[in-house]
Amino acid sequence: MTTPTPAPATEAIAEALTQYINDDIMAAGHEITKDALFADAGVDSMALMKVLLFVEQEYGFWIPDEDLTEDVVASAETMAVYIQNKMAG
Amino acid sequence: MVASNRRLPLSGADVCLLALDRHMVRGPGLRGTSRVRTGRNIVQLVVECQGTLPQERIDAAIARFVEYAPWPLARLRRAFPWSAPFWEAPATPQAAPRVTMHEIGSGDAPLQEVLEQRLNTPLDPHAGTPVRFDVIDQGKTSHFVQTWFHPLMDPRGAETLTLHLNHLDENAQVADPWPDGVPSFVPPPQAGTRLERLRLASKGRRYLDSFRATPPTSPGGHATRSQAQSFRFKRCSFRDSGTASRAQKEMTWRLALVGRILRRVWQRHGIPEVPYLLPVSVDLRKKGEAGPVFSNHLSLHFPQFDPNAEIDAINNELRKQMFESLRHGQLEATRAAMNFIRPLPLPLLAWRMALSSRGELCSFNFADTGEYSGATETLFGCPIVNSYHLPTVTPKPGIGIFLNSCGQNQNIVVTWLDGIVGADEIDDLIAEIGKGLGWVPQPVGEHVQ
Repeated sequence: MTTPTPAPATEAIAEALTQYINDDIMAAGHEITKDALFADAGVDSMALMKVLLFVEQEYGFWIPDEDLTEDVVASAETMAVYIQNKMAG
Repeated sequence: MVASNRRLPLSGADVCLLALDRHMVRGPGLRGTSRVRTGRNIVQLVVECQGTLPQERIDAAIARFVEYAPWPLARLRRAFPWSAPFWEAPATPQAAPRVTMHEIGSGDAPLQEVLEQRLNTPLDPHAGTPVRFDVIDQGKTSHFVQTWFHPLMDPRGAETLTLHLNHLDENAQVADPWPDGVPSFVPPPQAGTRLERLRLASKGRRYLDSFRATPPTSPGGHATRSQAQSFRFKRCSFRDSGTASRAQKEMTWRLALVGRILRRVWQRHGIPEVPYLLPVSVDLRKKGEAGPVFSNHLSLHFPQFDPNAEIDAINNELRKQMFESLRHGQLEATRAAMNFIRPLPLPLLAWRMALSSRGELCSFNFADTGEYSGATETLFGCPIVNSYHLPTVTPKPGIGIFLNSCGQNQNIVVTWLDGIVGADEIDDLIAEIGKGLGWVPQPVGEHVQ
């Protein structure tokens, strides 16, 4: 019997998402913070697809279309809250 | 790919555009031959402003810009038919391109006439400058128009050029307009070793070859030479009613809607309704910075979908294809594959481009270019009220739908070859696409700021 891996803290998820976005999507010198709104930072639908693939790779699940609401994909922080809840629940 | 002081190599995507340009004047299915070597792969960027744009200040900004980046003065060169083409800057200082002024009456009709005339005036990139600048003055509003041969830059590059010109105008009295360092106007060198790029290219080649299985059909399949020489366009502005969901603002949903509505054109003209195949350009610039101006900074994703399916089903299919493309690094592979075919002679390149037996590369052109840069609200001192880009299309497919936004203005632009579809059909298409997107038509001359 194996012990389930505890879900990472929201803060850690938000930091991982922010780091991925800054490394792979944003230009050097234009880094975003975890509470920055994706829309304001120019994270368009193609860039968001890359973020969803990152979530699948790092956290092992796919965010279903019905959960891709404005509230969830507003920022790294809001996505982290969703991911943490999903993994904990 | 990186420029020397005088040479800027064309990217693979640029060379594909050259091959398509040749196809436009000598393509399969178009009767007769032509020795025309002027470029017809032309794109316009129109920026509409309040008031009259100052010709002298624009001329001064362009003249100063070419001191930093000579590429608006460059000529297209290819040492041998089998060598990679490049832009060559003049060896000695030359006069910068100057703005041509047009004073016309108010309203959309006279504006459309001038833009269409500029769109239909070929550029010869071998003998002349590959970009033209015009100001169309309508009294209360005026339009700054850049018209260029597409391999020089892509639409986002033209936007960035506009921003640089505006910056130079704002800093006309300053000795060093870029004290923190002159921006890079050309793309950085290709990443990876040659072997790594070759492996990527091989993967990209397999991806591109996979489209030969279902050749596209298009309204331009029966285009004649006279039609292929004349472009029409129609542009309508809308405002967003705010009723669209987040998913409906995604590019895949918008493409699904456009494809579904275009199906009526296929049905009306008795065109076989095979799955649509079309190239969607993806801007590889990183977010948050303007990025390079010159060369084509795009890769291509080729979605295929059945226009008879419902919109949500098409959207799901397109999203799946896009995710798979990103998951497997297809965009980089396609770009690498295109860069490896640069030295091919253009006729051979056209043959390698998986054209259908009637000469189509795709079913229609589509671009959702996103928002015009919010980095500036004025251009040469005049408030910007709207902006949109206006590309020509290849004879086959012969029709293109382009979505642009600027501030709260949403624009639908349709370009087509004269005669392949009726103007009333285009009006219906625009109205239906606008309605499907949840947009409300704006009366002529009214823009939301």
